[in-house]
Amino acid sequence: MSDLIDILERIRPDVDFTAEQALIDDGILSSFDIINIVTDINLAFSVDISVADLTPDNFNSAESMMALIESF
Amino acid sequence: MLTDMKSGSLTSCLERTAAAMPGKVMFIDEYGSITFGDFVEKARRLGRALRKYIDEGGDGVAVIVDKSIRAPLVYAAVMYAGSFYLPIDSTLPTARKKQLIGIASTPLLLVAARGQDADELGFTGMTLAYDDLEALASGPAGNADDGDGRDAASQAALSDTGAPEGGDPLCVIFTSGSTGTPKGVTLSHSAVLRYLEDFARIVGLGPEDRLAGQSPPDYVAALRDLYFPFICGASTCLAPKRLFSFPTGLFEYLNEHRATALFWVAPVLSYCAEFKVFDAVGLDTVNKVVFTGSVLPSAHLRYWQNHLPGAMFMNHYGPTEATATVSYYIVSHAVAESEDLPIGVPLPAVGVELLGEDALPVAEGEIGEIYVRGGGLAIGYWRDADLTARSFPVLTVGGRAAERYFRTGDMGRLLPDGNLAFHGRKDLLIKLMGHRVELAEIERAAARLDGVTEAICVYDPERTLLTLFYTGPATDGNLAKYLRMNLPDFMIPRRFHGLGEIPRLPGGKPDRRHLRDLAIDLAS
Repeated sequence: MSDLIDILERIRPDVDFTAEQALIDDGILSSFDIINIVTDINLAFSVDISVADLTPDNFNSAESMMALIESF
Repeated sequence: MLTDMKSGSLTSCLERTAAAMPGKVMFIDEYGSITFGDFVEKARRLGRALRKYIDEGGDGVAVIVDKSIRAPLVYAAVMYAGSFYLPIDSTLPTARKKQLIGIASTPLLLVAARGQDADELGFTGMTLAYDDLEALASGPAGNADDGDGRDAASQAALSDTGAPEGGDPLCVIFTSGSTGTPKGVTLSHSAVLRYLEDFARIVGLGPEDRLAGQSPPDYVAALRDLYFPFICGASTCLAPKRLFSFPTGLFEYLNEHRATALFWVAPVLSYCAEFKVFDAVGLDTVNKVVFTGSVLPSAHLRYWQNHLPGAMFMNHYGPTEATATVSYYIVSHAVAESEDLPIGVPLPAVGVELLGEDALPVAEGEIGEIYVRGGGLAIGYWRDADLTARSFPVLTVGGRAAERYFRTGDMGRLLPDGNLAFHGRKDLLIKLMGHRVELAEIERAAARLDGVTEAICVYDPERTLLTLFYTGPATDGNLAKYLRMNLPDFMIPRRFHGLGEIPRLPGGKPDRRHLRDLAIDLAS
């Protein structure tokens, strides 16, 4: 989890990823951010997030992103 | 094409098109839709109500807009009121909106966006809310001339207000400025009309087409989404911004609304290709794809071509100062993986010269700066005569009579087949999500934060990665937060690195090349 938080904070140092639960629904992350996050996650965790995984639910919080990573 | 070439203004185009198809849907947004007939009638009434707030000084109207039908409605209302608009997207940070309102310095601010708090803008002139304007327009004054039917009302509206003529300003579009502050570019009715009429013909756009608008409502690309309906009777869906984060939902939206034509910035098409969105959802109705704003990697174009074999693909190039119009390239072959797409041949109203530092034409096949002349040129920079004179010089080139040109700052080369190839920039301007961004503007904004001594921004086009190096006691977090409150999101660096000192060239200038390499190292 701390690896993921590091990735997220490098992309958006202004967001508290340990607390936010509505990163997409509240418009905190832009499409820019999402593509950067997915690229970095794929690289760091050797996973392959595909278009079917690209849903608001999977990216609303660090926990949901971690759950997505662990589903591979 | 419904319109002829004699059309003088966008409102006269709108009148003609609406008369031909009053019941056809013109715009769709997330709140509803409007027909051509209702649109023109409402725009006239709003325009008549607005007119008494417009002074004679030619100052224009600053307009806070959201991505909804209200944007084209208030733009048309301002035209009917005999003025021109300076649009500002309500989703920008408040400090940015204030900055743009300051640069606009109009006597009147029209707040058309839903949810926009007018007080937070701190505007000292006259502020008019959309709902108040609408109430005025539906009152007796607004309806006074409508009793005799549409044509009479239209005549009254136009003769009352003095309909705009071709050379009149239509709008002022804000872009990034190399001095560190944004600048406004004043565009004329005639340049916008000529461009859209020619372009609609080249693309083959007509009433059967439905555009899916991607552009924010205050960006130059919105001219296509908003005014193709005026010109050729096409309809436009103003697709909500949030759809563009999740491409499957976006594709479902395109199918649901039977979109046929996409005029999108290249990064959005890349985004869809990188996530192989066609694996999840196909596109049923799209048959024209025009990409602008920056280079679309050929692998991404190939992906789109493979999945939409019957569609027309076109690369389109044009800076704001040339009314978005310069050249186009129809991709009539399956592109190879590593092919460099040309930016193509000039539109009919446009002339292009490639000039060297001495403002003389370069030798055939050599790289030169792209200079543009002809009917697409902007009127100039808003309230900046010096910059206008520098950027739009009157030149005598290659035996032609003296003419006004725009120096694009883009480098180009003429290929043997007559197409123009793009060869990058001569300065620090970059393209992010299709928007022109001056790195100096980001650096200036960062340096305004207490705790930042110096800031240098570098860009890695391969990774589309914007990195900010800074010196001083600030932290990455408070710097990112500060920039987010002051700049549009496409201008926010994705990486921050504090340095003990900025590396310099012998002359004392920051060593940008070294920092660019460092940014690439740090990212990998």
